Amino acid sequence: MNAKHIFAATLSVSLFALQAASADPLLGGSRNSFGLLGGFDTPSAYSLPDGVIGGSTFFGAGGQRHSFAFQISPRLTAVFRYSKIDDFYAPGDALYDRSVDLHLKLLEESGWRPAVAVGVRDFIGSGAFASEYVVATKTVTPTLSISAGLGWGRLGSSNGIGTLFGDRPTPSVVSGSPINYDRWFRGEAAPFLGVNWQVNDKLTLKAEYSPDGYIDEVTRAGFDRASSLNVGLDYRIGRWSSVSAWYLYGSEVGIQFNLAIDPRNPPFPSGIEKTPLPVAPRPSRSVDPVGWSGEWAAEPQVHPAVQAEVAKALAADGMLLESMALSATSVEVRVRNQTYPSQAQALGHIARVLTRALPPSVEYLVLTSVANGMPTSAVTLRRSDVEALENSNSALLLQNATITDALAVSTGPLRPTEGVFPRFQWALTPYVEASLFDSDDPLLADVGMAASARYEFAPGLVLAGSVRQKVVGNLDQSTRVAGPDPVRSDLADYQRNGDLTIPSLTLSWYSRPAENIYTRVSFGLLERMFGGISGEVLWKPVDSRLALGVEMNYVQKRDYDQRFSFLDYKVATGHVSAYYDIGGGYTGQIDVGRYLAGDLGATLSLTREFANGWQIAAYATFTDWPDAGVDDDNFVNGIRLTIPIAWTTGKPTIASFSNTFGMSGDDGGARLSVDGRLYGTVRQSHMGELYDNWGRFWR
Amino acid sequence: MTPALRLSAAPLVAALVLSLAACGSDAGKTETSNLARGLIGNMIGLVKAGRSTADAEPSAAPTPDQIAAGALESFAGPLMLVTIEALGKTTVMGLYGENGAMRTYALPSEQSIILRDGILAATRGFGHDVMSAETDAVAALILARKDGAAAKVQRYLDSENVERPLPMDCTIQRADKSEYEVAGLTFSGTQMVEVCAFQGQTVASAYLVSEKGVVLASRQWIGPKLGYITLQTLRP
Repeated sequence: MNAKHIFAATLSVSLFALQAASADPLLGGSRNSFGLLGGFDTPSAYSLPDGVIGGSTFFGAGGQRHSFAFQISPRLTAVFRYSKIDDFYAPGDALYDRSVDLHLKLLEESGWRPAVAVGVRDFIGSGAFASEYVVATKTVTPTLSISAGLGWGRLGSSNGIGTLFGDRPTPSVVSGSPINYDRWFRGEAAPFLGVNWQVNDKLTLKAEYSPDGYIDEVTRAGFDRASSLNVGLDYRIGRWSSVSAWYLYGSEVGIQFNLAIDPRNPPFPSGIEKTPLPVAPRPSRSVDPVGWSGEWAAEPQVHPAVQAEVAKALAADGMLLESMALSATSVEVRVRNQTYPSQAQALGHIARVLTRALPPSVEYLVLTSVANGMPTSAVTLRRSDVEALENSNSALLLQNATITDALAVSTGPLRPTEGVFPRFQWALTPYVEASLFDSDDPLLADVGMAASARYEFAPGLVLAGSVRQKVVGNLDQSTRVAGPDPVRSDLADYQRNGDLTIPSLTLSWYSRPAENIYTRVSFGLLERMFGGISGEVLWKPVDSRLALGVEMNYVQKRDYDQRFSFLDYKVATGHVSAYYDIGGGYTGQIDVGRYLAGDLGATLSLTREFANGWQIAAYATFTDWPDAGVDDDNFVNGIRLTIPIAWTTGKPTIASFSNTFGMSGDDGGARLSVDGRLYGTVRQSHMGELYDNWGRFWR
Repeated sequence: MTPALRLSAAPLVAALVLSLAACGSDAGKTETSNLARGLIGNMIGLVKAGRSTADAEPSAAPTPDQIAAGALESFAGPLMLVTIEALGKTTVMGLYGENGAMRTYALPSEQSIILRDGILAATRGFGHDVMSAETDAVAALILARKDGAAAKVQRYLDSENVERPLPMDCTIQRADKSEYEVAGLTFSGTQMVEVCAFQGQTVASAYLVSEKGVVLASRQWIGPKLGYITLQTLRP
């Protein structure tokens, strides 16, 4: 329910799951302890291949570093890190920290020219690792590369060559911004050097001259920095992972485990779901003159009988026929796809089922996609095309398909399928909730059972809720203290209560008042921390890259026992949003409005989405929340990663894992977390997504 | 329970809870949970690695003849014997659908192989499927038992759900007459060899074509990942 909460544990499980998936050699080469390519403390100018997601976890000298690297574009890498610095405050009192880096490749290697990159490490907030660098890397022989660069901050903290761009302010003096850009490339600069020798397919040896003085570690924790030289080896295990070991600073050792996953290299690109039903071509006119005449349409029993057949075949294929209109020449089916991550594939199955069930005179097939009870898009196909083009180049059929708003087609009265509504579904599942590498609560987790139920009165009118019971865990031992007037920072107060909580219980109504317009109203216990009413309107033409939305909520803060009582705090919160499908798999979103604490501001998000369902979304929120000194409450950012389960297993399912990395759980810039927001609901069956996935139509 | 005991028991209890299968009618929720469970199972399996998994081999696999005879007895429609060489698997496939010159044969494993005039047009359910293929030009030569050169295209899905074509230049040559016997039935015809070149590689397929111009048996190349399949008609 609380989408912002960090479940690093879940992600590590899902990344491990992918081990069977990646068949390519280990992606991206040997990494440093910060999760980027390089030596130990120093980077190289190289970056991971585009789209690749890396994970690395280091244990050793000075603490732990657990980094997730996202190659957002061919040039830009973002890294999120959970770290522990031993004895930071006092012997036995470690610093648990989260940090963010950006690495930008400026020049590709070409001829004599080396690759050149620039980066900022741990550039938000307190900045225990804060440093900046410029680095150049050249491949000297096919197995040997050399990197040389200049570092600032921690990477300029020993053997410096002087101050190039002025003094480094301590502490950061940027007012109203948590990004310490006033310190970037300031203060003492120091050179660094790295050498990387790939001995064979498995083994890489590396050495670096590091300018990181480990000043705090030496003074506070007795770190023995006897040398500036670090040496290490990287040994590949299988094709997706490696182990690194280092001898560091003449006195210390460290070990690291690395993973790399390429979303564009699924184990089964075409999936291993069972074969679809084949097209059944129509008999000739002479064989079935009655069927071709259309006279059957006057018989009242035909439509229900055909509908029952279609519903049965679709149900066997994981889809739900909500309603159907049938005339002598056309059919419209309104279908909920509960199985296939690609809507185009679902449409291909529906079209083939129809060729097997409909009388021959029906030529126009209108396939209407339904999401949360709302008819979204209508794809009109000619049955003759489906027959003639079965299993051929899918683009040929797309040329003859018409994609329109579902409300723009008129095929006659829709007859609801018998026995579909009201519809009741339930599930009983175990859950894990964890709080990891939080500065107050480094390792807390609960395990328990969750029961959820969903009752649909009619298409679009849904009562849904869930109940959770903790079985074992230590989240109740959290020592975290909430902010003065908490809206999100009191998460621990909610987590302490694990007995029979109600994470959500809502009545929602989704509808289509007009073409291009979608609406949602949700009422009840909307999320773990807030209850009230939430309303949303979305304008999204089926063929438009642009969508606009307004969301208004009036909510009251729920009591910590997470049942039916409330605290005093009430707020009206809401946003005006613009969404734009930039193309090339990128979608941008801007939300402007009032956040949960009453603060005003905006959120910018950029999502990179692969057609196979992987999503990497980076977001940043800026609000007028009063700057509370060391807190970074007026700026929230993070990366949300979504991994489609179908990608990992090859079996069709619309389920996915989603994880958020970043600075969250603070009071400023917090948004309501309500289920069923319209843009994500509607988009999948609109033109852009259908075109992108059309290659699966005949799958 | 003392606090120390509670603490030591906690991982066990947590593991027990997580090992419970999710259940219910809401597949979207239960599948995620069950998959996560499967993953943890896999990880435990990795830790306990070292055991042989080969003991699942059936003691006496039926011969192709036995498979064919059994299928001919239990299935009335058109049948083919199929061997997927990369999987080392021999089974039968039965006619599942027919659309013009295109026949969809389904395997018991609910995968399918789609032939157009006996030439591979598509596969479904193998993970690296041929999504579609342009086979008309090679089919014209093969069915007429004529030598010649023709173009052929097979398309595969990439991870972005785009059909990627693999264009091939093929030469077709007539070879000896041949026949085969399976489950007591004899099929005879002319062998046609098709050698297709793409990106510096060549793959060779072979077809046994009857006097009437019908492909009776073949060994055809599906793609880089799946390799070759062998098909033999049991009942046309």
